[in-house]
Amino acid sequence: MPPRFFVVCNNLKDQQGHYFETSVSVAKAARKAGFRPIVATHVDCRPDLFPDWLDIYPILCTDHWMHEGPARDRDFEGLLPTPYLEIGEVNAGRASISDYIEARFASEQRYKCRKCRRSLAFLGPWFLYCCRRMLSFLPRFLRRPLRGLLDQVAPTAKRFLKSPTVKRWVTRIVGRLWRRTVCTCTGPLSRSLQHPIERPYVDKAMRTLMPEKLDRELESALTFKRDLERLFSITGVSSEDHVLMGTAHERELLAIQLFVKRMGEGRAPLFHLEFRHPLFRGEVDEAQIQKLKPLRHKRLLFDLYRSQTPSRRIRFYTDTAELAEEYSLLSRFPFDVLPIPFRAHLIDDGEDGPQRPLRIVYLGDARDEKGFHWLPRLIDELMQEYVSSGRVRFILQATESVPEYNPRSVRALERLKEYDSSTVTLEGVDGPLSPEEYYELVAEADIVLLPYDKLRYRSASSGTFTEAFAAGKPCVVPCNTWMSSMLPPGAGEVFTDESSFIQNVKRLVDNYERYRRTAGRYSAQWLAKHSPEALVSCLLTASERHGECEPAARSA
Amino acid sequence: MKITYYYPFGYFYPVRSGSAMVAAHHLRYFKSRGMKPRIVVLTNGESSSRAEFERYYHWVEDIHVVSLRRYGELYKDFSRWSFGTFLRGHHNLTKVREFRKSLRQPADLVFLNYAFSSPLLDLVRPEPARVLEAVDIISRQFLMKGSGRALLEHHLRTEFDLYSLYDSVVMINTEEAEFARHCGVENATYVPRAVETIAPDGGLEEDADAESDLLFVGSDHPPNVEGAKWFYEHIYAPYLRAHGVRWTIVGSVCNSLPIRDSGVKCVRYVEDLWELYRRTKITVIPLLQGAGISIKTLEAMGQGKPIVTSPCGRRGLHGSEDALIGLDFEENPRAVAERILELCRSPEQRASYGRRALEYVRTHFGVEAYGQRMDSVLAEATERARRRQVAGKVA
Repeated sequence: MPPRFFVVCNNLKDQQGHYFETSVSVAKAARKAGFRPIVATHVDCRPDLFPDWLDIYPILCTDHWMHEGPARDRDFEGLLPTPYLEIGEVNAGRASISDYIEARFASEQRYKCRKCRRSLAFLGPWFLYCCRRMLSFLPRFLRRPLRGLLDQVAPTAKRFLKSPTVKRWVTRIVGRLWRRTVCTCTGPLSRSLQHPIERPYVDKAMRTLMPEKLDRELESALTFKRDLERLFSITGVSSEDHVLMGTAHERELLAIQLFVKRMGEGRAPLFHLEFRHPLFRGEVDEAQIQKLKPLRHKRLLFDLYRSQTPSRRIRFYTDTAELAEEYSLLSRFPFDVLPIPFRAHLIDDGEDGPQRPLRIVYLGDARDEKGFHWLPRLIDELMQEYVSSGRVRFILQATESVPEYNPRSVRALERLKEYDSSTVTLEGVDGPLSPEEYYELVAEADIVLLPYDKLRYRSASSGTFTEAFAAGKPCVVPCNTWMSSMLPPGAGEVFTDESSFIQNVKRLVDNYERYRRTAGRYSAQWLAKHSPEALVSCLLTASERHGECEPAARSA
Repeated sequence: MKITYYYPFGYFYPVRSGSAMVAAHHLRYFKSRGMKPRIVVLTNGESSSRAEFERYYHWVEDIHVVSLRRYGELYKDFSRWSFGTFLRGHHNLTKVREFRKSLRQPADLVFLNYAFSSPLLDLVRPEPARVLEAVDIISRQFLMKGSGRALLEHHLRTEFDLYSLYDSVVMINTEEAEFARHCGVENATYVPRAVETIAPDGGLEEDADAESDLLFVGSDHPPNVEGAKWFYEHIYAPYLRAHGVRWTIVGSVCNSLPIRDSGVKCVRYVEDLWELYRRTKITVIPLLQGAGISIKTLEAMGQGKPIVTSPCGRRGLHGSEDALIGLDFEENPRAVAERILELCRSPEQRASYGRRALEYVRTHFGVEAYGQRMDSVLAEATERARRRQVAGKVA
């Protein structure tokens, strides 16, 4: 049986975004490299979206963003299979069959308890809330009747009652009580606390994360670990296998570390965690790490990982050199840089030469950070001279993504709907585009717009830019970003603000032929660096090296 | 050869369930080879047919009965229809002292039935050869419609892992045996069932005053219950009842069927099932899911009955296209009803199908073929056990 290559993507629920594309393209490349590819997705993902040759397991109940709590696990009827004991151990006489059964099936009693616990699970967070409220409430509550008494009591006693030491002791006692009572009754935390290997780790994690109100992160991490265990219990796993998380979060790192501890370094697969979200808006500044809560929390999670003996079976990556630098600063671990995977063969060559009118295309979700709300003004500015005269038309992908977090894009979309569809065509309004539809749009484009927030995208990559550039399309990108550092002179334009964005688009249209020829010259070079095969090769090369990871060939 | 045989089906006279019939054939085989096994019987506490069971198997060396009713928690495990609980139930059985003592008796061969019995191997000494009558891929039987793929795969993987603990695994369906081998179970072997047929001089003709038009025989196994209920709701009640078709249902499946219909007769137990076959026109097999082979289909074919079956009812019966009438019940229930009515009105058609069914069973599921295959299975298992012992000593 060939070794397995797992692509674990807990945010993959449909074809929206690049999760689907990345997963399928990497799985295909892994298959070409002689692996058996397996993709694990969110439980809400439909397996029929994927090609028949690919094994899909919609098994992950937590998603990357944690907007909602963990989804309900569907397939296991209360069973809790774990992969830690293989039948080989029984055949070798090192374990009994009963041990094996115990590892693969929960007991009826535990199943019943779990059902009961699930219905009481709301009590956990509620109780914690009550405890916290009491801690702050109690002194006030006691203060009233005791005010008179306190006034009469010696100042020493007053200082004692108000002292931080007393508060600390009370917090410690209540916290311990909470962990030993409510925690043992609810959710994945309870299971971990009952296990001799996991307990010290989870105990420490709770003490570290709860003061920062990160207990939900820990619950989510342990739910993710449970789902990983189920996946590996079904598919089997060995030290020859690879697991890629294309968009990882630090909480998932905790889960994976715990899994590797249970599995043992000698038996665990090699985990490749790629972190893709930018950390700093603007320049990198270590002082911000302590000031900004999200960064502080991320460092806390990395420090927790470090404090529990980092594993040699876990490797870290990003997809740009700038992001690798940021994460190295934050985590104090080395990060390699991976190529960006996409299925370039789906981009049709298209007609030779530009078509009239020129097609100016916006690709990707309608999000504020992607500058979608700039498009109505751009169209208005170009309407008289370019659009009405038939020199250009606009094709805009208008797939809404979490509208409540992108209000400006929602308003912009309403405006865009008012334009004549022959000059402004909106695609994907009803839902995400399929990969074929998306790549058809890429192939059709003459100019690709990326009016992204330059601070947000300072170090982050853009799949849309990668695909457009690979297809030889001139692009308009923000300045001081990874995109602008990748864009060769003459292959596109770089803007600084909304006004210069509009001017650059006009300039590009006016001199289109020159830009197109330049962009086309770099396309092949770009494709050689960024492909799913290059990514898989990079991962396998990294795994063959012993000791510390050295930075792999970086994207130019 | 000293044999310990684990019989997990209670005091079933062989025809009460297909799996009990499988066990009966094993024991008959042992008898034909002059072997006298010790039978360890697991029951649900019913003792109504104990005397009959002991009379039928009076020739064995010993019968040791373990009643689940004495162990409340164990009884609960076996009451819930799930692969996990049946496995855990057997795991818990290993703590029962009388059971432990019984299985640890010296033997040359230990013969278990169904993969969920595997936890009992913890009690068995290392020396005896271990043979599993898997019957079919039992984990599939526990999965009802709507069970997720992940659960199926988990169960399958567990079951195939357990097969590796044995020296030989016997399966009654050739495709399932091939599938198991394809999944790495090298010791899986297909052994065709020996089906009891009517004597060569026994008449194929049904009684002129046939008591029933349709017959379904089954235990209270959930797929049987599901199939019978579906057939009643989708075919019998809408299409056949109005034509006065009489349907007899036999077996413990009656306990779980909420059918109150003057045209349907539910009989929990009959003294002579073969007699009932003679007094019935057609056997219907309305199963919608299952694994292995449908023993009841083979049994009816062995009695020379014409059979109308769903695709599931003829699983594993290759080359039986002419021997029985296979129709997709769910796709076109009306067509099934029409075919049944046509068959009810035509004694010639019934006789023709009955002859072909009997011929098929005699060709593919004869007693001799079964005996020869079992001889080679036991020889192979004994040899593997010997090699295992040697390897263990060397280690």
